[in-house]
Amino acid sequence: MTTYGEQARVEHLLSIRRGTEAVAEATRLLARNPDDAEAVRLLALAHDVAGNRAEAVAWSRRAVAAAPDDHRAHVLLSRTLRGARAFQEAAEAAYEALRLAPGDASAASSYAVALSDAGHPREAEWAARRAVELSPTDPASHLNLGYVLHRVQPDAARRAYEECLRLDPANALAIQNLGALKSKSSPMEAIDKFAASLAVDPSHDIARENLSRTLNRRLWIILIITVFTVQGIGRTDTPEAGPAVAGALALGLAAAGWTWFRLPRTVRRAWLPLVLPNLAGKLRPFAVTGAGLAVSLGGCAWIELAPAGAAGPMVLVVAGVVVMAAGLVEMVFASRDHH
Amino acid sequence: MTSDDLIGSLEEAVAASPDDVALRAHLAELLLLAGRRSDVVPHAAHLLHLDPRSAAGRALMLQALDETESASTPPAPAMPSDQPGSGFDWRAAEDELGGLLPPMFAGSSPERSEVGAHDVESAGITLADVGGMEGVKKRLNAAFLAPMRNERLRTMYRKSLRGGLLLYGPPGCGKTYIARALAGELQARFMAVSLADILDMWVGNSERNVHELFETARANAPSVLFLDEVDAIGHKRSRMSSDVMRNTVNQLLLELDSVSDSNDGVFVLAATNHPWDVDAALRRPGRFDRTILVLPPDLEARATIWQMCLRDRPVSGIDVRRLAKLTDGFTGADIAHLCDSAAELALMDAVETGVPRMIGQADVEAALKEVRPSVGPWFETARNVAMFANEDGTYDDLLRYLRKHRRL
Repeated sequence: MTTYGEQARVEHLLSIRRGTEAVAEATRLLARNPDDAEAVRLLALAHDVAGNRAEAVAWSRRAVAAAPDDHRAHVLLSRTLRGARAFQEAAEAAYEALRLAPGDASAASSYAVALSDAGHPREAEWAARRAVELSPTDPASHLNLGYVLHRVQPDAARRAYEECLRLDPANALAIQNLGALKSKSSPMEAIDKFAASLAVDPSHDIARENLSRTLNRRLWIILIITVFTVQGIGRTDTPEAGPAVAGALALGLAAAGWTWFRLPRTVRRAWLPLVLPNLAGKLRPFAVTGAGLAVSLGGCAWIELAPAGAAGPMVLVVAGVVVMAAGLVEMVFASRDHH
Repeated sequence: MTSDDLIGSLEEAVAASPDDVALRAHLAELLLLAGRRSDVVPHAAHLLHLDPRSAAGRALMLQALDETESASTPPAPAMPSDQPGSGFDWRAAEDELGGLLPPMFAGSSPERSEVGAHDVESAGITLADVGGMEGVKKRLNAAFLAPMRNERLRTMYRKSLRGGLLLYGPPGCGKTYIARALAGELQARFMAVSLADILDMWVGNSERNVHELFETARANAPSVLFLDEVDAIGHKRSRMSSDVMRNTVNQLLLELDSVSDSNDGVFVLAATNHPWDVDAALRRPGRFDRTILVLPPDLEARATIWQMCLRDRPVSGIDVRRLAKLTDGFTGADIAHLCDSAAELALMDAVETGVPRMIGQADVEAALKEVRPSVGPWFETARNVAMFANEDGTYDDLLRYLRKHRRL
C-alpha cells in the first residue's frame, strides 16, 4: 500500500498539471511499491497529464490488470483510449467502469463522452444525463452533458454549459465550448467567449485556434462581400455606378469598422498575430482561395476600365483563377487529411 | 604526496560528492591528525546531518569541539557560538540540526529526507557575478535594493519595504541564480525552497512546516527566503482539489503578512515559470506585489555563460562572442546543454580515433544544429497571457518583449 503522503504528492502535481514532475514522482512511488495498483493508476494518470499518450494507454491497461474491480482504472483507460482515438474501445472500458460502479458520476460521464466520440449520440445523452443526476453540483457532469449535446441539441448544450459556469465561473472549457456553439450564429459573441476562455486559462490552445479561425472567417467574409459588391456595381454601365461603387465600399468599410469596434479590446490589440499566423498555417488554403478570388475580381474590374484588348487585366484574371484553383485543390486535400 | 596535498585533494573530492560519508569521515580524520580541529567541525556536523546516529560523526565532533574550545578557535559557521565548554550537549546539537531539517511525513525515504528543506547557506555571489541582464539588475535595484539601502531616501519618499519580489520567466533563465546574487548583495543568508522540498514538507503538518520555514528564516536574519516554483505551493486555490494545499497557501499568506509587519530582516523572494497560475491573493500589495521578468540571457550574459560552461573543459579556438551571437533565444540551461553536446561530439571522436582532442568551435556549432531553444512552449502560453490576461497591465513588460522580438 502506498502511503498517504506519497500519493498526495503525486495527486497534487496532477492537480496543478505538472505532468512531467508527476511522472517522475509516480515512477518513484511505483518503484517503492511495485505491487500497488494505485501507484500504477497514478503513473498512468501522470503520463496522461504529461501528454505521453502511448505510455498513458499502456499504463492504464496495466492499472486495469492490477485492479480489475476498480472502476477508476477503467475510467482512466477509457480516457487515455479516447486520447489515442480508439473510441469504440474507450466506450467499452467506460461501460465496464459503469458496470462496476453504477452510482459513480465520473464513470457515467466517461461513458457518455466515449459513446459520443464513438458516434452514439442518443446513448451518450442518456449516460450524460445520468451523470448529472448522480452529481448535480459537479461542473464536470454538466460540461460533459453539454459536450455530448453540442452537435445534436445546441440549445440544450448551451444550457448545460451555462449551468457548468454557474457552478464554476472560471471553467475555461465551458466558456470556450459556449463560444464554439456560437461561432456560426454569432461570431462576435463567439470571439468574446474564446478571448474570455483564454483570459482564464492562457494555456488553452484550442480556444486560441478557434478565436483565430472565427476572426479570419469574419474578416474574409467582409472582404469578399465588399469585393463582389463593388465588382457587381462596377460592371453596370449606368452613370450612377461611380457613387454606387463608392457606397458599396463605404458599406464594406462600415461593416469592417463595426466588426472592429465590437471585438473585445484584447482581440483588437492583437488582431494581426491572430490573423496572420493562421493564414500562413492552417487557414492557408482558405486564404489562397480568397486571395485568388480577390485578384481575379480586381482583374475583371480593370478590364472594365482599361482600353479594349489590353493584356494586363486578362493576365491578372487568369493568375487569380489559377491561384484560386490551387487554393481549392489544397482545401480539398486538407479536408481529406482531416477526415 | 604531502598531508596538505592529500587533504586538498580530499576536499575537492568531498566538494564533488558532499554526501559521501566514508570520504568525508576520512577527510575529517586527516584534518584532525593535522591539528586543524576547527575545520573538522563542519565535516562532523555534516556527517551527523546525514546520519544523526553516526558513531564516527559523534566521535569526530567530540574530539574537534574539545580542542576547539580549549584553543578558543572561532567556531565554524555551521555551529552555534555558545557551545558548552566541556563535553558535548547532544540535545542542543540535535535541536540545532533539527532546525535545519523539517519534520517529514510518514514513509519518506532516507534519500529524500537528506534534502534539507531549510538549509541556510551564504549566498556566495553578488549581482556583479551575473553577466549582462542589465535590465533585470536595474529593476532589482529600483524595486528592492535601493529602498533597502537608503533609509533616508526611503523615509523621504515614504517607500515601504513591505512585500516580496516575484521573479518570473521561462525555465532555465537564471531566476534562482539572480535570487542568490540578490541575497549576496544584501549580505544575507540564503534559504532556497524548491518544489521537491515543498512536496516533502506539506503532507502531514503542512501549515506548521511552512511556519517553521519562516521561523528558520527569521532565526537566521538577515536572510533571503527564496521560494522556487511558487506556483506549486501557491497555486490558484480555486483550482485545487486538496484541502491540505489550500491550508498551506493560507499559512503562506499569513507568514508573508507577518514578515511584512515585523520587517525583521527576512526578505522573501519567489520564482515561477507560470505566474498566471499563482493564487491572486499572493500577488496582492504587501505580498508578492513586485514582479520582475527574467528573460533568456542577452548577448553579454550569454557570453558569460559560455565562458563559465567552457571554463573547465579542454577547449581550443572557441569564439565565445560568435557563440553568444548564434545562441540568441537560448537559455542558460540550453547553453549548458550545448556545451555537453559539444563535449560529447569531441569525446566520441576521441573514442573513434583513439586520439584525445580539444573541443573546438566546429563541435559547438555542430551541436547548435541539433539543439533548439527550450523556451518555445513557454512563449506560446506567455503570448496568450500577454494578449488576453493582461487587462491590469501586470504583463506589460512581457508584452513589450514579445513585440520587440516579434513573438506576437
